[in-house]
Amino acid sequence: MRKAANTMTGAAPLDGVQLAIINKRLEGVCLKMANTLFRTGRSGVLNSARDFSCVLVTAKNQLLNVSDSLPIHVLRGADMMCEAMQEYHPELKRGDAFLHNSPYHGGSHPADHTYLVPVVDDDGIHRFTMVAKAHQADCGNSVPTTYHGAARDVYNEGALIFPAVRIQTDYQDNLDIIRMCEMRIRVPEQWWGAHRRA
Amino acid sequence: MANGEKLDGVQLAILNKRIESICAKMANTLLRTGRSGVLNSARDFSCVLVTAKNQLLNVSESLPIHVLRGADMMCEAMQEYHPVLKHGDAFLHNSPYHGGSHPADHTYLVPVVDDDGIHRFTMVAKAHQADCGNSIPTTYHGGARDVYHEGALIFPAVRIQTDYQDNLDIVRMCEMRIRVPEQWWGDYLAALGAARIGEREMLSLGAEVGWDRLDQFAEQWFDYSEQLMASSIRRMPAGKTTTYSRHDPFPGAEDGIDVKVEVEIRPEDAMIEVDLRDNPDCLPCGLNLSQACTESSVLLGIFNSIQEEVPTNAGSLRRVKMHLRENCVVGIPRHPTSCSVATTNVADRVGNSVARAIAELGDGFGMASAGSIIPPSIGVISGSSEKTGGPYVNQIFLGWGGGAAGPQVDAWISIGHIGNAGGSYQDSIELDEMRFPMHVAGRHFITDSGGAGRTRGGEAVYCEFGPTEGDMEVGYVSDGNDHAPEGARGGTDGACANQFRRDPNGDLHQLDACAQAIIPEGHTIVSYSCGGGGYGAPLERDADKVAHDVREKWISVDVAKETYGVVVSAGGVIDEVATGELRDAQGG
Repeated sequence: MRKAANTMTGAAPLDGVQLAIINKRLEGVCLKMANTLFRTGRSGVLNSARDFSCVLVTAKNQLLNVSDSLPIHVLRGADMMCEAMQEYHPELKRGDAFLHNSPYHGGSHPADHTYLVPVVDDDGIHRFTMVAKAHQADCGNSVPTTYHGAARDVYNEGALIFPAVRIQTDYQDNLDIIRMCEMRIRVPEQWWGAHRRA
Repeated sequence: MANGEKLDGVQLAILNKRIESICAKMANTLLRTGRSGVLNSARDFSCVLVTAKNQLLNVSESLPIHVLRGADMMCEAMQEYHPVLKHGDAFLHNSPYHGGSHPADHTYLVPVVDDDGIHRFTMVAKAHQADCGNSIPTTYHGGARDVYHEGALIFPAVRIQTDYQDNLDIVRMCEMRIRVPEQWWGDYLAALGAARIGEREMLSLGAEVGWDRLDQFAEQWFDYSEQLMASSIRRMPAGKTTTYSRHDPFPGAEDGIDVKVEVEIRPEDAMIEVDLRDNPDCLPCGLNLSQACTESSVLLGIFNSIQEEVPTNAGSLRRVKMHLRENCVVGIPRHPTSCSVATTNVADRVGNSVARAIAELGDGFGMASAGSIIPPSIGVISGSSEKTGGPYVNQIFLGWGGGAAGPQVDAWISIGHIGNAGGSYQDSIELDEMRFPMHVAGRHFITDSGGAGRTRGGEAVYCEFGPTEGDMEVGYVSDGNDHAPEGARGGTDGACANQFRRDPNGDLHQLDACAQAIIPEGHTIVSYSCGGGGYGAPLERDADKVAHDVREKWISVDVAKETYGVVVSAGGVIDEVATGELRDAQGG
């Protein structure tokens, strides 16, 4: 049974072949992201263990593609992180990027540094959000592990918490945030490598 | 630079007072609007004016250890990281690796930018926080192995306002990682508000007087201050000496920390030189000094021996030369060395040692050692209660004494510690009991705890308190349990510190000197602060003064006799004959 024309977009609905093709195109996009992260990550966590996820989320914060992901990273959460990004930064511009790892705002755990890049078209409309979540070798915990099982609370845990913090504007790094990470994350050059790649 | 006509003495004095009053307005704002007791009761903050060239211009409303050095270095870091400064910018800075004292001292830097977009001055408001996000609920993490273990968020001159609007990303990060975030937010508004008041006043002064005229003032004021400093040093005794002190063993510094201070006074060229290079490397604990605190502690030891009319600024500081070493516990720390406790413990050992070195070089100069800190009565309390509507955390300032005896006068008893030079207030018992679920069972000075001498060291303070609702955690780092604050020139040492937990049966249980003590409801923590050292031989103290001390219960009849050679009744009546004989015998 063919559906009537899509009432939202006014466009004709796609047929099964078109659906499959576009889906594969999107999978291909996520695969490119994943290959980049795998080949360029500086820490073993990324370049050997492949502890990362690359995800595509719609502008309405719906999870669209998780084909290159660890399920626990993103089956839920990537969408919630994008929601937090939109709530805290209602105006998204091309060239923006956000660092997010807050478990109180959709993040998994603070060691999963996640970079959210809104895809903004030529008319300035936010269309999708690319999500790259990369588990860190260190995230600034009070003890040198990213799994602080005995932490009494987030203070005792020690990690820096980034609730969708803008880390790039117009493709330029916010060096204040970089310097804060360099002060509080062990082996900061390693973190820097992961940040560049993700 | 400034090509204007020279200001005369009266003009200099007037402009200096105008600037002092601007800093006073900042300080009043902070004191009246700070949300935490640390600010609105204890006054643990500093308001400073720095020139566009990062020279310290005014510290009249400041705690010396906060800013004698450091405010200038923080402004330097701001300029390095943010070369373009705009009207409406503000920066949060607390990094001990970039000129900060210790991470608990959140500092707001507001560049004063004139109508032509030129950066003229920087207003600095430094406010000690009740919490700064450490991994344990105290801003003094003595056992921190490094800055990661310490846990505080480090802000190396991070832009927190643009065009007078908050950078909410940074605010949200603080809210996620600082305990009782509404309290931090209130203190943020207070400290930034203070800096903004200073900015407004400086803009108005610049418009009225002219910016070039203010630059001219700064240059002349620095030169004048340097001249006064030089003439003060010329009246000091020449010589070179070395003093030693020792911080108690703490976690990460199990052998204690030896501090060696070499001081040379050269009146002929009006210079004082201090060498701290022959000291241990940085240690895996929170006691290492930041560079700002190393230099500030040296300077406050020196300025306590300088005539008070000498302004403390970049001009007078030109007459002091310091030799420091990288990766030294009293030098220049390398990241990620922890400097969590940089403003007090080891810094006090340095400042006191400089003061004692000057005393050793000449009678009538220098000072004895002030009491070491931070006893539980000045600790950081935390817990959760209905009274506070949830979690609470705050540093209390319930009782510290231990002022150092001076060369001419007895100690300023309630100075606090040498680093804040009496600038902080002590808490009201009633206000603390009103704000927190706590009861203060007692607070008083302790007889015979001040060092004896021709002039007397300040007495120690006894304080006992405990929670009235749930457990209370008390974080403290009490140096002086083992190594007493030293006397000078024959004066005796002040009393050592100590601390216990008292259980409901009244039995006392010894607590460690550096701890996060859990005090259950029904128990109390018992805190003994240090006494200060005495100056000069006790036998030289006027017998009438000793009798007065006995009458006032500062010293006992026994100590009057044994230490001072004064035979006196409990009511303070001297036996002149017995006293004469005794003093002759004791004096040899």
